[in-house]
This record gives sequence, structure tokens and C-alpha cells, in this order.
Amino acid sequence: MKRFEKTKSKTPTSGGRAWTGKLSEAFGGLNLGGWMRRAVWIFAAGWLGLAGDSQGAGAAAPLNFVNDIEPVLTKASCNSGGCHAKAGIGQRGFRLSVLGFEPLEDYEHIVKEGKGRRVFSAAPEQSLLLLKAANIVPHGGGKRIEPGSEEFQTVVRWISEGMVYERESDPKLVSVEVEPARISLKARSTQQLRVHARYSDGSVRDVSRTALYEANDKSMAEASEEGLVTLQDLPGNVAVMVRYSGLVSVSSITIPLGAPVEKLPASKNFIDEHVFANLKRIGIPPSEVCDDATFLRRVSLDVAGRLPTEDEAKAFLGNQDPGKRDAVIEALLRSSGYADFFAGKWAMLLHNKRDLASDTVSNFAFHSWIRDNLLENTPYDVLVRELLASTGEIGTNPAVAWFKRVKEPQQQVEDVAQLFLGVRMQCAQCHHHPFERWSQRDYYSLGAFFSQVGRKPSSTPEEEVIFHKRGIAQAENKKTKQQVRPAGLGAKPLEIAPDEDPRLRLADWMRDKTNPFFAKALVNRYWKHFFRRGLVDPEDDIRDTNPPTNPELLDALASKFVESGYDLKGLIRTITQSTAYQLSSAPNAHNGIDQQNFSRYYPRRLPAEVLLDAIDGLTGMPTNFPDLPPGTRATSLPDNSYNRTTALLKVFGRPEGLSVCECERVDSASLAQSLHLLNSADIKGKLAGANGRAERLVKSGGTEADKIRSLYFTAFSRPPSTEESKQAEEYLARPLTDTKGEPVDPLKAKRISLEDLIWALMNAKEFLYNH
Amino acid sequence: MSRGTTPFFAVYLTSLCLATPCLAQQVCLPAPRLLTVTPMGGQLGTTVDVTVTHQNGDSIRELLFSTPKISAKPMQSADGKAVPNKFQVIIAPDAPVGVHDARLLTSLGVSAARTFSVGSLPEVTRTKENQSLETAWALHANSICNAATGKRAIDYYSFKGTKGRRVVVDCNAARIDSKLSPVVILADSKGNDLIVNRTSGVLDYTPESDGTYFIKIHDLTFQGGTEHFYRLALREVDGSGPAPRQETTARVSAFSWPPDGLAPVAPVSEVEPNNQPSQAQKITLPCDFAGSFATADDTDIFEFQAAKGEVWWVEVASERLGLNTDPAVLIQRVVKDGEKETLTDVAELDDMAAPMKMGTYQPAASYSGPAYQAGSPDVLGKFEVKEDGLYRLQLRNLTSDTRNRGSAYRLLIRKAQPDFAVVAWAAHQRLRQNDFGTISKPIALRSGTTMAFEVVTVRRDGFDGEINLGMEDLPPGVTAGGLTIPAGKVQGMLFVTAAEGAAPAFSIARIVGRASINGNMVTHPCRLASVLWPVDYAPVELPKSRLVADVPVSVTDFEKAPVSVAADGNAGFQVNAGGTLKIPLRITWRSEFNGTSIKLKPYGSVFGAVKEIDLPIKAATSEVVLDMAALKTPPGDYTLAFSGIAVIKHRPNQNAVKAAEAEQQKAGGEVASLAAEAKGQAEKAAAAPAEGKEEAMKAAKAAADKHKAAEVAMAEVTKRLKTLTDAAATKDVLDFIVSEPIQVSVKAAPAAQTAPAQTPVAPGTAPSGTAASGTAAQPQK
Repeated sequence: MKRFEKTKSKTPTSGGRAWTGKLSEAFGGLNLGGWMRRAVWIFAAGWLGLAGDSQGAGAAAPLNFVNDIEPVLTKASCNSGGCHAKAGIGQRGFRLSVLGFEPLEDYEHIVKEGKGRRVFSAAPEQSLLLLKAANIVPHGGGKRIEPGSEEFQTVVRWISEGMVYERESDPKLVSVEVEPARISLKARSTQQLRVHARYSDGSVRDVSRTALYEANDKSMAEASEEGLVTLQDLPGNVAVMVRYSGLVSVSSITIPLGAPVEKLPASKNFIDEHVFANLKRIGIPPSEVCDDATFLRRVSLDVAGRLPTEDEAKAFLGNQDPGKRDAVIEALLRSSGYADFFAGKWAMLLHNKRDLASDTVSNFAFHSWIRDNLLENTPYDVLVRELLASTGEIGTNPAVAWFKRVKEPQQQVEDVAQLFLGVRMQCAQCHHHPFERWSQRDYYSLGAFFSQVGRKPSSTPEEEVIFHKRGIAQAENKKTKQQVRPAGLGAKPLEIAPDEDPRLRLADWMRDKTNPFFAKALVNRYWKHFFRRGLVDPEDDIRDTNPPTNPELLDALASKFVESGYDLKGLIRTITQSTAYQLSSAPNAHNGIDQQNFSRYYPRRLPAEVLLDAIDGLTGMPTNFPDLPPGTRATSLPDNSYNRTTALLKVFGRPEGLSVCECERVDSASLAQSLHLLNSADIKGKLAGANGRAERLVKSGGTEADKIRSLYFTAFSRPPSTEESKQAEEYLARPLTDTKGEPVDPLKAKRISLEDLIWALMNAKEFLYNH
Repeated sequence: MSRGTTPFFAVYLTSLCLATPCLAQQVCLPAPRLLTVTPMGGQLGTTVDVTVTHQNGDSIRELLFSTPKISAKPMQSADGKAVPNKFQVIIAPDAPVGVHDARLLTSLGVSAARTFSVGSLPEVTRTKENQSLETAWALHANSICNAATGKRAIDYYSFKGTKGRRVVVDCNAARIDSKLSPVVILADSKGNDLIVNRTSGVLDYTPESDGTYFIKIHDLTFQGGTEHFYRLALREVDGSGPAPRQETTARVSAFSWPPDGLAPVAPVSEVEPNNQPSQAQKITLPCDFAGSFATADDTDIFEFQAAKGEVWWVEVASERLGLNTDPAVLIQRVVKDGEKETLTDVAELDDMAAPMKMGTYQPAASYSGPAYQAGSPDVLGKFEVKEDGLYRLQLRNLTSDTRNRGSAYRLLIRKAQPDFAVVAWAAHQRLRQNDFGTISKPIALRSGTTMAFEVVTVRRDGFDGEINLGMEDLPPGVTAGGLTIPAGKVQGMLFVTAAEGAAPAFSIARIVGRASINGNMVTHPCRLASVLWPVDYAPVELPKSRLVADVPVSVTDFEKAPVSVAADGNAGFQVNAGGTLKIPLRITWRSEFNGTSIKLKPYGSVFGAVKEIDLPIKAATSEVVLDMAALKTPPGDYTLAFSGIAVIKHRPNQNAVKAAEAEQQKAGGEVASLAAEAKGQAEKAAAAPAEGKEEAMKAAKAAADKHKAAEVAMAEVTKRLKTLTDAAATKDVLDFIVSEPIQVSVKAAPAAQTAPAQTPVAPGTAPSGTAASGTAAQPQK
């Protein structure tokens, strides 16, 4: 590494200039100009460096396409999706496979296509392939390879050697290893990565130059093209993915904050042990445990999607029972609010969307099916099995609605993988997954589980009867045109009798204790629900190259979840009972910077439905949803159709059920949101509504202080501070005059002031956020 | 986001437009329909006060039931007058427990039916609002509550639960004709939901503690109204057996079950485990099994020996028992070589094909076919044994749940027992968009009307012969024709005609199917199916149907058919194959029509190629020409009938107007005479001497009071006359006209003219509807 850095420092040397001159001659006196200087040092460095680093691969051995040329093309981004690997067409008649996953095809295209016009053995440097790559002949993609660089010369040599694809005796790439694989580094430091490729003959090559580097969190680390990693300020764990010739490896870097962690809150369960161990390791002291009011509000919002009522909040704060937090969690999990809230989350991911009026029955039935199962705490594996292997029609088995929404086999594969396994398989439909081990074979093998889904018309329009169609389960690999048998990801293909519904076998594979994805994906998804960030993030992109920030914790959560019999309420109970969940969101002197180690609670804006219900509760004016009973909460809505009738839901990003990704839900802030809360007719109507909270407070007895207290408990689940109470009382007491300067009737003035106070509370961050 | 929004809105707007039916014209002449009966049932041996709602049920005469053990009499007010739409229903102690049909007899005839349940539990009718926890209606254990949900509403009930005491909540709705798709929720004492059922209306729960529990009932999509009624039974149940359910109506598909002579209870039961070939249950053929499907991966496997040349028929009933199942049978031959087994598929048996394709909704069009599912996901088929040996039959439910919510089946494997079952329903003709009102039809005939029925059969075990249909016990003046399902076919037509001069009458008729099977004449009753509700607009509500209890037929002269089309001298016609037959038609017009002519098209496929008749409005005669050479109809007896669409200028309820006018005239007379009487008495009183003054004044007052009462009555009659006159205003009504059936006998051509008649008909291309024998038929004249 040192040598590499040293070489780099030599860049502007006279030696380099000399090389420039020679190369200039070699290219027929072209004015190579300034760009050449960089090319020269790269070439020189590579030549010298690699020659020394090759251990046994033999520098003089003839080059082959697979081992030597494809990595060059990949490094130069020739085969990226935006360039010559554009799906199906390539670029201007020249097509390469994405990231070189199909070297044989690429070889054919380079060497044979167009009567071999892309390569010229007699004068390799004059090959079109190189002239274009070096932008010597005008190239839409610009200059990808410096003339004379090591890469350039490698290609030249390969052409001059006769353009071998791969000899039988040639060593095959076996693995790629990055060094360091795991390291702890201070913030703002740098680290050069070194990548070694191991071959079947035992040889090892340093491929650091041609490997590709990418950090999974760019706010924590940046990796240069040469593999130099520069760390940012944030403490925690970051992974730099290294990709070389179809294989990947990861360098995990821990960035400690290094602050003293002297006192840790008491651990309640294994979650705390893992979270605190990590915090200790990287030196981030956790915040204090939050107060009761904050806890009650937080857990009510997270479990049941609602604010605690005023009475609940007062009772909780007045309760001296040390077990009261656990008791609240139990009560929330028993409540239908829990089932409603989580059903809304799942219904959107399962595409319960209304396109036509005739979707109504199906959507109500499917949403309710999810909700009722959550209420009864159906084990997660049973629920998924019932969904994926559902048969019948909507009226008797609402789970078949999923097959109405997710009709195409490819969407079934992709949704199942992403939602239930946390794996994104989309890329593998057309080419090998660029960051993963998943190939098209894996993709179609997973799809084969759905190959025997039969459909016939039902008595309900637009609905079908779903059944298992007898036959051998298999799917055609679109690449090879071969039929593949069903197989779980990374599992062996299954022989499934024609009478057996393969979907049941898929469900069996999923719930098997040894399944590496199923439980992990769920616990990670739920972790994110409660902690704002997944242990793997995004929560549905679990892969070796995107490792968890706390792998031990993720493993422990998953194995406990399996042991519990896939008990969803149990998982939530475990999470919410943990001290880690109950930490204050207020940062201490050190952990304000932390964004991934859960040293404090990360506040977040209330989801659209929850916010609407909260506003309805605060203003005392429930939203009236079309065709639903008065009093229906937004968290109970069955589908997306209400986003059109209730502007707030749309403005605050309630999803439409289009995507299997939770990212469809917009949780960022926008100007429209602020304006909606500040001056929409909707909010104004709620504040000033007949028999709304303001009017009721005016008419009710009690002191102004009581009313203010009541409002604070409703909005924030806590009493106002002395200062807040004083300010509010002064505000309510001030006389009002109309536009003509005449005094306003005192009762009316009171009401206006109360509306203002409610309005102000509603717009406070403390209200809009779960904290 | 906007890309997703635009199409949604486009579709949504389209839906909104479609959701408002543009009914410029009424579709179909008014037919009486009983809409609701509240309460929807009663306990054995009790008298129940019921209220009915109806459509076109003016001048209700009686409330009738499909069992003589239930009777009704109109409720009377204190002054002895009948209270409109209210009846006292008397349920005999020995009335059959179950679901019966109720219907009204009105001036237009018998109405469409509505269920009326009879049970042994005490019943109540909810009488106050119960749409909150606070106003929950208290239920007693082992009782039934009759109620209906409101739109956007949830009904609340409470009951006292006892720890460990199992209760079953059963909300009967859709299977007793209700539009309610019930959601049944059981909640704790604070109203927190505990368990929910949204698919079958039943909850089975054992309380964990003593206390008050709540039941919530609402529609799946929160629809409601009087037609969303339900019967909520709360039972305390011993043991852990299946939850008891209330009785329900039968699906149309159930008409083909059971086969004749089947034992009510199967002699043998399935023995689990039999999921694996190694666990196959050994049986001998023939067999009659009762079993049940469990989870989705449950396969019931049976093993038996069979000999070469045998033919076995396999029938499975499950869906037809009222369950939501889809059985499938696979039979394989098993050849064993030591431990190794070789399996060869012999037969795969799946759904029973529908004799007529069920209609579907098509945008911007009418319902496309019959609203009746006469086929079934059940199994009926055969397998032929090609070789001696061991065979394995596996039975699965293709729509099983992945959790065990077992469903029963009955499996029969038998040697051929050829037989048939038949079901009929009022034929529906596509009129135009939004014509769904046409498909809920009682057999309430206006004199001079012909009504068309489709009759379909499920044939068993290879029976392929002709099925003759008969109608018995028809009211006087009503005849039936077209009574054949031809050999090899599964569909026929039936035409019921009320003669022009038929007097009002009502009877419970019977339709029977008769066929000669292996030399024996076999007779089976033909069931009748009906659509449950008039459907105004199908995208919102699709027609649902069921078997009705019997075949009520009425005839009325309150209104007459707007037009009657019949053969002149309709006693049957005869023609030689290859010849030409001209049939004169006689048309009787009784109403005004829009347009200049009615196009009449022939029914069915035998005469399907007969040229359409363009019948000018008011033409008294017309003619049908049958060119048998062109039609190539083989010899046999056939029925020819026509139908066409017409816009009638309907003047409803004219008789009621006339009656009211007469009543008004009578009342006017009374007022005049009482006025004169009062005037006379007043004058008398004025002139009376002092000693008789008081008495005369009394008499004068009494006369004045009578006069005043008569004037009030007169005002009421006048008001009613106005209402009736308004309602009787002429309306354009789109309806279809059916001709009387015409019997045509096609004879084999005489020997001298054999050439055209002997035009060979290629095998398999014979026109459908061919008569049974295809040889000489009996002459009609």
C-alpha cells in the first residue's frame, strides 16, 4: 500500500513526461496533452506494481479474456447499465453483458461480431475497441481508458497474443479478498484497500487497480476508484464493497467515536446487551432512559399508531407501579389499534390498492384478513404460508387478493424476495446480480414455485379462483431457455410431485429454522419500524455487501424470533421492553452525531395516517371517510383510495400500494406539509368546527390552567411546564379587538384564542414528531 | 406520482359515470317481488307479527309459505281494518325446521320469494338502535335475534360469558337471501376486538373469564339497509364438535345432488392418515365414502383392485353440500417391482361442466347469460380399466386452506347407473345496458302471456337419451309447451302460457323430467332456480341465485299481456323433411307500442336459422315460413317459439284506478245523501218545539257528524285516487315478448321425394335439438 501511495506521489515526475513523449510518437504524433500525464503514471505504476505483486500467476503467461480483459472493461464502466450493457440493445450496436457476467457473449461481440471489426491483430493499438475506449476516435462515452495505460497495454497485448478467450488449463478465479477485511479507524482518516484474487491453481494476483469500490453509506465513507477509503465524521460501521470479475468482497470498517462510556443504563434483555456492547466498542455513550410521558407517547404511536388519550396519559404518569411500562405494552398489543396500524403497513406493501370501484370488496376483505390475523397473533410463518399458498376466491379466502395484485411470475418472485426475504432480485431477472451471488438461475428457480398457480373465473367480476394446477413445477430460465426446478435462494433444487402445491414447499423452506433470510428480514423490518433505521438499511436489501451495523444483534433477534414460533407480538414486546428502545431522543455531549448505533431514540415525523388521527383527536373533529362508519380512524383505512378524498394523507406521503418497498411512504418534510398545517381549509375547519375541542373547552367549566393542562396532555401526553402554562394563560387572557378596533365578545375571543393555542400545539415539533 | 394518478382518476371518473344508471325507460313490466319479511323467521309453535316490504305488491291479498305448516293472516287494527303490510304468522309446532319460502299473492299474481326460517330456539327482533357499545342489545344464550344493519353502521350486542363455557355465534345472512356480507366480531368487556370472522359468519369462542362480552355485526364494506338483514344466533354448546349452524338455502348447483336412492349417511368413513401412498386406505369397489378435507397439503389416498374392462363412475359432492371447495380426483395405476413403484395416470377428474355458461358482467352491456351456476367444482366422471391390477385414487381440494378448517365430502365410486337431474329458470334475454331488473322473475302470468324458461340437465353415468319435461298442477287456463331436452343435449326450453281468457288463479305446480333409461321410465322432479333480488345495476351488485322451494304459478287478468303472438289454430304443424311449411300467426294487440314493428327471432338452435319476422305494430296476422330443405332439420317433434324486444306504452294499475274511481263515486254519493240528511235534520231541529228541541238537536248533530266523517272519507278516497292516477300514468317500458310455442312435426320425406330429404348429415354435425330417435315422429294432426 505504501508503495502504491508512493507511486502516486511520483505522478508529476520527469519520468512521466518522458513516457508521454514516447507514447505520443506511438500514436502517430497525436497531441496527447495534459491527460496523458495521468495515464502515464497509472501505466508506469501498474506496470511496476503489478509485476511485483503477481504471485504465481506468471506475468509472462498469455492473457485470456475472462481473467484479464473483462475486469478492465468493467473497471472502465464499458459494461455498465447506462453504456454498452443497456438492457437488450447495448449502445450504438455494441452490446456487453452487465458488469461482465456473461464473458463468453462479450467475447463474441468483441472478437467476432461485425466481422471482427472491433479488433485488429496486425496493429492492436489501432483496434476500434481501443480507439473508442481511449476516445481517440470520437466516443459517446468519452475517454474510458487512458492510451498507454496498463489497462490499455493489457488489451493491446491480449489482441497481439491472439485474443484467447480462456484455455482449459488457465487458472479460474476462485475468490476475491480485500484487505483489511475488518478494521477500526478514526473518523476522517483514510485507508487504502488492497484486493487479491485467488485462482484455481493457487496463484494470487493483486487486482486492487481493476477492482471496483463502493461504500454502503456515503455519509460515512467515500471510496476512490483506486480503493482509497476516506472516512467522514459519523461514528459507526460502514462497509466498502469490492467487486472484481463477478465476485464481491467487503471491508467492514468501524469508526469509533472514542468517547468514554462509563455508565450504561440497566439492560432489560438481550437487545440491550448487544446494543450497549456495540456502543461501548465504538465509544458512544447512550442517552438516558426517557421519561414516562415520552415513553407512553412513543410506544402508543409505534405500536398502535395513536396518541395516548388524556386520561391514559394522566393515569400512566400517576401510576407508581414499576411494571407499568410493560403493562402498557401488553395493553397496546392486545388492542385492535395494534392490528389496525400494522395491517395498514402490510396492506400497502402487499399492494392493496383500489383502481376500480369493483376492487372495493376485495380490498376490504384483504385488509381485514391481515388485520384479523395480526389481532389473533397468527404466527408470522403461518401468515406468510397462508398468503403465498392461498387458494380459493376472495369471498372465502381473502388472501388470494395478493395473486390478483401480483399477477406476473416475475413480480411474484421479486415481491416475495424483497418483502419476505429482504433480498432484491430484480436485477437477476436479466443478468447476474451485481452485488450479490444471485444469478438468473436463482431468479427463475424461485419463480418456479409459482409456476403451478391455476386461475379460473369466479362468480365475482374481476376476481379469480386461485388453485394449484397439477403438474411439474418448473420455470424457463429466459437466458438459457432451460427449465429450472424450484429452489429457495441458495438452496438445492427440489423435486416436487405434480400433485403437491410447490408454494407450500416454498413456505416450508422459508420457515425452516435454518433459513438465512426469512426471520432476519422480518426482525430487521420491525426493528426499523421502531428505531427508524434497520440494522441492515434499507431494510429489504440484505446482502453480504450491505452488512448489518450490529450483526450479533440481528442474528440474536432472528434466532429468538424463530424460537418464539414466529411470534410477532412477542417480537414487538421484546423490542419495546428493551432499554435501547426506551432511551431518550435528547443527545448527550457525545452521541448527537450517531445515526446508526441506537445510542438514542431517533425522532421521526408521524406517518400521515397517525398524524391525521392525532390532529382529529386534538381538535376533537374526526375526519369523515366516505362510506365508512363515523369515527373510523385513518390508521384503519383499508386501501389507498382515501388518499384522494383526504388531502392530508396525500400531502404527508401515505403510500398508494404501488411498491413492495416501504420507501414508497414519504417521511420527509416538505413545504406543502407546512402549508397544509398552517393554512389549509381542512385544518381551519377542524380548529373552528362546531362541537370541536375549542368550542367544548369554552363551554366547559374549570380554570384556564385546567384547559391548558388538558390540551398539553392530549397533544404531548404531559402536563405543561410552569412557564408554558403561564404563557398560555396570558395568551388566553388577552383581550381581542376586531378589524374596526372594537372589543370582541369575550366568549368568542376565548374560543379564537383556544383555537390559536391548539393550532400552535399542532404545529409544534413535539406534536408532529415521535420522539 | 402524477403518472399513477391520472389513469386512476380516469378509471374512477368512468366508474362514477357508470355508477349512475341512465334509466330513461323502465325495463320489464312490473312483477311483484317480496323484498323483506321482518322478522325473518320464528320459533316452532309460535305466532309472529311480521312486516313485509315489496316491489309492485299493491293490493296484497295473502302472505303464503312453501309449507302448509306456516300460515298468515293480515293484522287488523282496533277498528277491524287490515294493517297494510303486516301479518300474523302462525308456525305450527310440527313445522319442519329449516328455511322456507314466503311470497305474496297480489293483484299482479304471486311474488318472487323470500326466505322465512323456522327453528327451535326462542327468537326476538331487535327493536331499538344498538350502534354503540353503550346501547348494545342484550342477547340471551340460546336465542336468535332478527335485525338488519344500517349503512356505515356497526350493530352491538352484549351477552354474559362464563369462563370455560363454549359459545357459538352464528350470523346467518347471505344464505337466507340477505345482501349482508357479515363481519362478526367478538369483543371483551371494554369493546376490544378478540376474534373476527368475515367469511362465514360464525365464531366459536370459549371465554377465559366470566363477564360481559360484545358482539359487533357489520357489512364487510359497511353497506346497509333493510335488505341487509341477518339472524344472529347465540348458542352455548357442549363438547368440541363442529359449531352448529343455522339452516340455509341451497345453491343452484345442488340440484344435481344426491343421486337417486343414495343413503342419507355414507356407510364408510375416510380413515386418516391417508396422505401418503404408503398410508393409502384400502377399499373395494363399489364404495360410498364420507370424508373431509383438512389443510391444503391434505390428500386422501385410496387403493383398490380393478379388473380389465371395468368402467367405474366417480362422483364427489362437496361444493354441492354448500361448502367452498373444489375437489379433484386423480386415478393412477400402480405397478410394484419390489420396493419400486411405477405410477401411470389413468384419469384426472375435475369440475362438472356447466350445462349453460353462466353470465358475466361486461362493461357497457347487459348481463351476458343466465345468472345460475348449474355446473359445480365437484367431480362426476368415469375411468375405464384397461388392465387388471392395483389402482390408487387420490382426492384433493384444490381450494383448501393452509390451516385446518376441514370441509366434508362424499365420494361415490359405482358401476354405471345412468340417470339425470334437471333444473329450470326463467330465461333472460339481453335487452340493453342496465336491464338487470329482468332477471328476478316470479311466474306471475298476465293473461295472454307466454313465459320462457331454460331447463338444463346434469346427466349421470353415460345417460344420453331424451328427457321429456312435464308440468303438472298448473292453474286453470295455463299450459306448458316445448317440453324436451333432446338426446345428447343438456339444455332445453320450456314455455308457459296463460290463455287470453284465463281467470285469476294460483297453484303450486310441479315440473318433472321423464326419461326412458334401460327400458324403465324414470321420473325426477325438476327444481326451479331464481335470482334473489332485482338488480338495478350489476357493477355494484351482481345477480345471486338459489334453488327455490317449489314452483308457484299464478295468472292474473288485473293486467293483460300487451301483445300475444300465436299460431293461428295452434294444434301443431307437420312438414316433410325437405318440404316447406307456412305457419300463419295471429297477433292480439292490447297496448300501444313505440316504433313501427317488432322483430321476432326464433329460439334455440334447431330453428335458429329461421328468418326473423318483422312484425308491424298492430298487424293482426303474419306468417312463418320454414324451408326444411334449407334448415335440414331431421325428422322429429320440435317446438318453435319466437321472442322480440318491444317498447310498450304501459298503463299500469288501470283496474286499481277504476276501482278507486268507483269508490270515489260511491263516497260522493254518500256525502251528498248525508249532506241532505244533515240539512234536513238541522231544519227540523230549528223548527222543533221546545219539548222536542233537545232530541232534535242531538239528531241534527249526529247527522252533521256523519256528514263530516263522510267528507273526510271522501277526501281520503280522492287523495288515493290521485296517487293511483299519478302512478298509472303511461310509461315506456322495454320488455321482451315471447310467442306461444308452436309444435312442429318433421316427417321423413315420402319415398318418391327422398332425394332432398335424404341429404346426408355428416356425423357430429347434426343440428342441436335433434329429437330422440331421429326417426319418424308421432304426427300432431
